[in-house]
Amino acid sequence: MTRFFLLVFCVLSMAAVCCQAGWELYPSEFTLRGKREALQLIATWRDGDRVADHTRGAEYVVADPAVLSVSRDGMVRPRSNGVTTIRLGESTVKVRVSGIQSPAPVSFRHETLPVLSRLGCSAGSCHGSPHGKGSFRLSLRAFDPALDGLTLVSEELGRRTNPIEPDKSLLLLKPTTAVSHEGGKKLDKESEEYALLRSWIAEGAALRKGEESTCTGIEIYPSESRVLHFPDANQQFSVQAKFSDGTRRDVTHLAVFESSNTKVAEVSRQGLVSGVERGGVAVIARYLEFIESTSLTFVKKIDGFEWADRKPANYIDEHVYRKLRQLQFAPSQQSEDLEFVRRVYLDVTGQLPSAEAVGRFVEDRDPGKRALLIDTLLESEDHASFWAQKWGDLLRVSKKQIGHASVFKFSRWLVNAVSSNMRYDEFAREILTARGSSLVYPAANYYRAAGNTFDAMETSAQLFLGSRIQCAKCHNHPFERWTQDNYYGLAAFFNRVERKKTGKGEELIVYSRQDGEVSHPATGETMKPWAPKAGEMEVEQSFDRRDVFTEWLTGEDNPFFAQVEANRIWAYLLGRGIVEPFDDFRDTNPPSNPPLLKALAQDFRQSGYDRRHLLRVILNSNTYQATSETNQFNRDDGTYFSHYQPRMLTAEQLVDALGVVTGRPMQFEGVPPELRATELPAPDLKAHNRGRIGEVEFMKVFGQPERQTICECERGDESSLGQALQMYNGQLIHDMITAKDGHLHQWIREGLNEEEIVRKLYVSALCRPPGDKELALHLQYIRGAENATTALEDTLWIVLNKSEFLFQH
Amino acid sequence: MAPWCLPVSFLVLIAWPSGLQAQHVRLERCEPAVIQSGVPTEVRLHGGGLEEVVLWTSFPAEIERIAEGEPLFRISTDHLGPGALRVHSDNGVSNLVYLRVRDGEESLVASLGKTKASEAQEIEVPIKVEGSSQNLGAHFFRFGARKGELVTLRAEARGSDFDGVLTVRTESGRRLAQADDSQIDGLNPRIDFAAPEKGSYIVELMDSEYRGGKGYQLWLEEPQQNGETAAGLVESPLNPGVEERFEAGEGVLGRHVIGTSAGMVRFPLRIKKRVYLTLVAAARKIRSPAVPRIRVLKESGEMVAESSREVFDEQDMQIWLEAGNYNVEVRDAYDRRGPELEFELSIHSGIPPFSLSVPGQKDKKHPLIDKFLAVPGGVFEVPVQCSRKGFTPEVQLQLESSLACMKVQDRVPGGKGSAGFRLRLPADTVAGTLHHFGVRGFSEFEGSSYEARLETRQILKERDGAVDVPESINGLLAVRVMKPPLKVEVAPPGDVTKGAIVKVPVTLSWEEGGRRFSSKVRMVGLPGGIESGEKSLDDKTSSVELELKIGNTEQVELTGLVVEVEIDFHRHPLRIESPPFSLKIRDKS
Repeated sequence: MTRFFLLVFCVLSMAAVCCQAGWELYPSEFTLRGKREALQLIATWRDGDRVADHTRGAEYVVADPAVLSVSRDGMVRPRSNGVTTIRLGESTVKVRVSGIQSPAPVSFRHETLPVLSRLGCSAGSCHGSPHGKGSFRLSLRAFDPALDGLTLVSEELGRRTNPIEPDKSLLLLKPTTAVSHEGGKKLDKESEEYALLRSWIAEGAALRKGEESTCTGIEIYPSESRVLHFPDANQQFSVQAKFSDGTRRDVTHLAVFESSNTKVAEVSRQGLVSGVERGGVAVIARYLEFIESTSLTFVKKIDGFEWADRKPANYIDEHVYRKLRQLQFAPSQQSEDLEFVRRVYLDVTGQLPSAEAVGRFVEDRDPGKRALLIDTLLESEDHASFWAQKWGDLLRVSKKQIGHASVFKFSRWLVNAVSSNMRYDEFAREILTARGSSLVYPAANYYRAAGNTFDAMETSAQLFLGSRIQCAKCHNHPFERWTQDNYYGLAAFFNRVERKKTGKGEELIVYSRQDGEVSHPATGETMKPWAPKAGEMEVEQSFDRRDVFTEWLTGEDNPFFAQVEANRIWAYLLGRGIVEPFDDFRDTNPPSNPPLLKALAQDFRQSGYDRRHLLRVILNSNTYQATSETNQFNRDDGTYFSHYQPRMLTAEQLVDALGVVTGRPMQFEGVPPELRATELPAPDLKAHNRGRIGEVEFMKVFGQPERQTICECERGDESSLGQALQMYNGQLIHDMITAKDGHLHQWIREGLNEEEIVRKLYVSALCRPPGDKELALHLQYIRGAENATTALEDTLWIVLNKSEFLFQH
Repeated sequence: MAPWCLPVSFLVLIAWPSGLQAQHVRLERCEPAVIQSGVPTEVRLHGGGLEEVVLWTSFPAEIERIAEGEPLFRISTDHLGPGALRVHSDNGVSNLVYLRVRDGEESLVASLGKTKASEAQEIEVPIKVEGSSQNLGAHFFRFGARKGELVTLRAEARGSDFDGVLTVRTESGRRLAQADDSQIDGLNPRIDFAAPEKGSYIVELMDSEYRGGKGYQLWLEEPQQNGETAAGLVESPLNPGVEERFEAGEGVLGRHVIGTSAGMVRFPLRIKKRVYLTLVAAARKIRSPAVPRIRVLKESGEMVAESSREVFDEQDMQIWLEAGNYNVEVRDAYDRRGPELEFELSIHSGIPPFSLSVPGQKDKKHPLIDKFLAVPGGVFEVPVQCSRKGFTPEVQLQLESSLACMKVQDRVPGGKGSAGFRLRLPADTVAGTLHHFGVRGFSEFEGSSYEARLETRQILKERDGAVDVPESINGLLAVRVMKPPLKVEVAPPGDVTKGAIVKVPVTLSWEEGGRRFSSKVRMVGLPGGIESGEKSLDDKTSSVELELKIGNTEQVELTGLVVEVEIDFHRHPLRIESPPFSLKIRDKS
């Protein structure tokens, strides 16, 4: 019993402590070695769940000012050896200072190079580019210190670093524009960076100082995600580096800081993040080759905003609403039936609903009719074709990449995979471990399009890990943790894949050798297969390494697999990923709603990687079914799914929709005439007709991808002048509208009156009847025209050029 | 049909020189290419200029045109075996196409080319349909089934590179099943369909790339029972205490599993004497996803042979094994293991260590060497290629034919890879007739006999790009009997002296008004010590002198000497011999 009461007492005490408002100082203790070292304090006022950064402007009390000083921005600088404390409220920091009398020489590796990175000298746009600038080349972001040392000390007859007259070193003259510098002024003579560089040069520009310890990593503080409320929308960051000798140094003054979204928050060179607008942002700190990041959410009080509780349809709405409430965006109302039916048909099948289908749906009084319609559409062949086409884009299913025969086979395989609702992990396995004849085993065409080791690895990483790892081929990734070692380690899973032509037409045999290794291009080291989080992996000689990779990829320990596909499906339906672009997962591109993404991924995994299940859950959510109309409290939101985001129909959807409305579907070369655009197996079945100069491919203008890259960005979704010209004056539209065997002329021949025809056009194209005003305007025009038929054609033209037709909403 | 019709038909069909075929009437194929004896069958012809043609058959048949203006006929015949078709019209006479007449229960129909589901061709199970694919479309068929009834649907190419896609739909169009490729059959689709309800179902068949004109065969049949003859599934342990122990010559039936524990199955093998073995580990035919790879090791562990590491298809392994103990190991080519990885291993000693074929002829200007010409009583030569697999003994050649040909040269000498199989037609063979025959090779080695049939499948595939060569055509050779277009007259010198070179005048007397051909003239039947060269003549030269070099020979008289004239009859060699003559040989003194 006594123990019980003690326990209760402890819990209550802790709660009390936690709930009390008060100061927190970071770090709790530290050691400064030498005059050049500094320490960035972080002063946080915590009041319950709310935190606010008050690093700048806090009243720090230093017990012994002879030992150190603290500036107004919280930077601690040593003065003399000793130990003292710094106090803020009830919180203290103990600081030990040593080595003031015998300052250590400037470290080229740990100080000079980071300064050059911080100044931007070794950025990819400047001297860090492959050819450098002005004959001065540094490694990108200092990933190759040996090269940088050679460049700085030995090249240009040693003029870059002049130890005898340090101020005459080009390294100091150029960035201070004492001599002309194309890059402009990058360095102030009074700055600490100048002093450090000068010291390094004056000390002899040594590249190594004795037995130097190496940096093993960095920590950023605050490391946990924080929610900051305007007007206290500032946060100072501190970066500490860990070294192999067990020491820690504050490198805030040497690190490079970046914000993932400067529209939401900006970050200064000193690591102070300032909120600009409400929203989420990732803050990235980089020191040497190490990157760490954390996320901040900025919240602003919006006048007049009041959260109206609404019942979530499922967990998706719970997460979305939580975020919207936090950021004070009000979700839009649910869409009307007419809006919903058009939208869900287009999203699930790529087709407009027929007038009959619209009528049936609207008249149905069943409260579960939306769920029923979703289920019906998900089981349809149109759904399989349309969603297989999306994978066709990603897998580069085109005649140019995989050959004519394989285009049909691979495309059909994809359709069957979607139609049979193949488990996503099995789908990935079939593709990644494909072997055999490209004609008998269509999935083997994956390795035809990804025709070599690095292509196969980069493609697999982007498709299934959501990572654009390409940059790490030549150097450590500038925006991610990927190193060059990781790149070649991952490639080791794919380097034994062989592709062999059989001479029978286009047939290619894909198989795996039992030998062959990847060597690091810089060190020559043989790279073992490596996977994120798993590290280097031992693979038995006789095993196909792709099997091992796939097992890891689809395993429980890999968080990326489910997340990437869940995010991709979300992006297809909602117009934007939770991570956007949806194939660009990185610390510096955080999800807009991490708990939502995690929940989707978990649900996806638990369902057995059932894509149809995930589609069903998303489509049945209020978030998906919200109207595209905004309200005053979500007009500015383009990130958090407070309303449905309108977007242009894809090229294929548009062509099919035009065909349905006009009754003149487009026909394509090399496939049956009844095949729709959303069923096309490849975009390049038509032979390029060089004789027809100026021939414009309608679908290309509207963004149909060539399927030559795996980037989702290859499918254009921006509107353009060319598109407008096609819709206004294009031959295709003209032919469709004026076709004598099209719907319009058929209705005229059948004797329908103008009003009936206008109503039919609206329902067919927009899935709704015309409003009274619209109808009146149309009839006025038609009845006042000299030629009623031409006027009706003009009406059809008007309807086809309405944004409401061209957009999915 | 009148008795005289048959030989007249033959004469017209056969004797008509192919060089005179009409330009505008052309046959590519007929569908079906196989009809049933005794069953009237609709046959559709494909080619050019076939609108108003008359159909001839090389066998007795009743022919009825079904549709005016269309090359659609009904053929009824009691004939059995290979046959040919030809058509003629005012525009000329076409080439021949094969048509086989067989005895069988399988119902065989031609596709009517219905391109809409609403007009689908009615068919019944079991059935085989032959047709040609629809350009940018599909062919539709309708069949009925009871609830739960099992039907196997499969499609294959027929003399084309048809790559089929099969779909089964309900009458309302809902897709129930689709097959593009079967991993078992390669590029051929197959659906094992169980009818969910009693009713009609639509079969849609198209080429994978929507190409038209590609010959296909479609079967709808009851599912076959898998031929499990031996004890069922047996997971063989790795341990030497394995149950299976067999000797060469026995086929091992029954299935095995590349189980999860060892990933490999081992079979001990005891060989009593040197033998040529064929080992096959089959998985596709039992619809297993395994891709077996075979290794043969001595009991000591030393590897003797291993099937190719680049395994794309099942392979058999043919190998000579000396007497001793061995282990045969079978594992999956991709090192997979699991209960689904079944295979059947068989080991035979019956497949001979040599194979016979005629040489290929890739240049299409030159005819394939499977047709020969000979005059009654004359000689023709079948060039035989012998591919040996570590086997050097002589191979004797035997003719399989109703013709009582005399064998003039009938063996492939030991160690040689080719030889000419010279045959002489009986003197009473009728000119203008066509005779089919086959060739077999026999050899013995260390008390074991080996036999192989001469095959032409490979060269037919190479030459014609044919995907499928029916077994009835494989190895089928033919000799056409020609009336000799010339006479060969020799004026032998009578007596010759040893060591002398004698000129032997030869005169070619071409048929009056007949065409002449270039030729080669040589003397045959010479014994050792006597040599003669060969002379080439153009079509204008009618006489030549052959040189005969009389070496040191024991013989005093040479009899049965013959001068052979080989004329190039439209790129086919035709040999005409002179009457035999004799020479007396005197000593120099």
